[in-house]
Amino acid sequence: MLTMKGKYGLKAMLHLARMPEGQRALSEEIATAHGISKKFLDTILGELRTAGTIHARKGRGGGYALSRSADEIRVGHILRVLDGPLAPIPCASRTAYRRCDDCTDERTCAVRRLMLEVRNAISAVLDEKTLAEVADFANTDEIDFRELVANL
Amino acid sequence: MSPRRILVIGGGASGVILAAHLLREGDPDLKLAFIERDTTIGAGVAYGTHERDHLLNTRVGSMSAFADDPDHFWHWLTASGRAEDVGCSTPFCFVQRRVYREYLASVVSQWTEGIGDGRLKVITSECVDLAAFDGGVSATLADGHSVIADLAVLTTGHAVPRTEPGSLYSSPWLSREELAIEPEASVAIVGTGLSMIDNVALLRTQGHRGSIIAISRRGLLPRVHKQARPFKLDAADVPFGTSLTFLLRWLRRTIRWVEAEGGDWRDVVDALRPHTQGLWQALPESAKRRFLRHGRTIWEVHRHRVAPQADRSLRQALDEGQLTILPGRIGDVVLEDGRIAISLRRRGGEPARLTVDHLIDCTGILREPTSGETRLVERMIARGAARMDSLGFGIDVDRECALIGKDGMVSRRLYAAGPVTRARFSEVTAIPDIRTQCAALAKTLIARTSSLV
Repeated sequence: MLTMKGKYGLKAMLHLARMPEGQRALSEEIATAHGISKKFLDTILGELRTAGTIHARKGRGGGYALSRSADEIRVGHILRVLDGPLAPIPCASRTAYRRCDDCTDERTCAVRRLMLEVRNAISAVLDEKTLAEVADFANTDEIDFRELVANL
Repeated sequence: MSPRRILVIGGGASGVILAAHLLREGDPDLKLAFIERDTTIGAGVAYGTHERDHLLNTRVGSMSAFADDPDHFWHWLTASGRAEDVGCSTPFCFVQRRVYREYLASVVSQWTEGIGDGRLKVITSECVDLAAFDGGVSATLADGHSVIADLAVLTTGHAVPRTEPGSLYSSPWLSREELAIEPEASVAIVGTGLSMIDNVALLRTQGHRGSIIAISRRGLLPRVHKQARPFKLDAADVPFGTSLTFLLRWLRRTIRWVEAEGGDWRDVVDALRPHTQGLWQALPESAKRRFLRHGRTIWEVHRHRVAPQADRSLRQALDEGQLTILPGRIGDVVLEDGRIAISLRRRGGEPARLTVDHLIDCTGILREPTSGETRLVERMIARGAARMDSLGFGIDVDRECALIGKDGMVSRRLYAAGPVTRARFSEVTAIPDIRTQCAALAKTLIARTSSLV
């Protein structure tokens, strides 16, 4: 499930991916740019930092930056850190799943089996896509749109 | 179309498994040649031993040469009557390594020159150099002869310790006759992994009575196999691309969860196996470096486990006081009045000195790839046909196992498979990993040979 946490985390990562090399962003900047509450964003950035996907530096000129280049970071890797094992329903994972309230036996549940398959397809897509690809794609899209507007 | 020929440099397990896939899948005019020093195909470093006590470190059920036919080894054992000879009644048992070597030879026997149809030629010699040219590849043999083919694959396995004349270290792969250790002599072994266990077992069956001291940085011993409950992890469950700290925390949490379900840490370690390549490739370079330095031995002792029988005899040696495990780092090793004096720094920093009659090098696969006895890899690197990866962990290959030269160009004719490709794929040590890699590489090579003009 893509939670708000996952969605905002991904937006923050894309924000960092689009910054010029060597620059850092403060969490206020990211929060304002995407309309996220700063407090919530700080928790998210904290988790991304523990997972080693971003760096933080204190003081002047400090802020957040990606810890490796955006073409080495996969979208699926970010979402696993924030949302866990990409399960569309809580029981559709091999580890740490949560049983549904009405469940009698998760081993024979056909819905669970189907959702595991769905989840594996999700992770296959998300692990193929790099952060750089997603960031670029959004850029070109915006340019197309701007051009379209300009030519009206 | 003229017949196509592929050279396989190294006739150990990875070479044999690759050859079997190529000959099985390729069209009948595809020919192969092994270049192998040893007269026994399938021996390599891992399965060359004749010792009765040297068992496989993996169960029969996981040792088939073919991923698409997982019971192939077990069926061979039962059909050939060997299962009964070695007292093996289920695919969960551990058989002797010499039996596995016979199996490997049998896997390619229908094509082997002299026994089968001759599509597989065996050149008993050492390959000292390998180069690609416009129309093919050329391998130089120790006697100066050259062998020409269309493609070549390096399957030279683990770097074998080079024991130069006059070296104080003995090779860990010697037979009892070659070792020639007096029963009362004192022996030091560098390394406390699986080859140390083999060597202790070998010494003890020969009736060795002298003391044995095994030294390694942390003195960690391989953990013991236990019948595992199969457990599956999907890629979606595994946190790829995260830091080592995060991974370790996730691993601990997952183990706790599996234990609560009645499982065991071994189930998790085994379930991670299909994902180790992916995990390794997604690690940032700094984390790879940290893992090699701090995490690798801990992973290895959990991942490469010892058969229960072998562990029992090891414990016995420890209980009897014949074997001592000494954590520490080895410094100078010098000859002193005909004995070997070793200075070492014990774990904790305190210096120590040890005098023994024999010193056996069992550092195993932690060795650097260019330190190999044959120097083939060393020569290829010197000429620019191959290069080391940025960590100095192994030679650089691309995702299809093609060698990458000094100039960064991917070779169209030179490939590698098995343990030599560890820099990219991390663990290609165990048969289940090797056979998957060989199946994929065989497809690539067959496609390459049919596109050659």
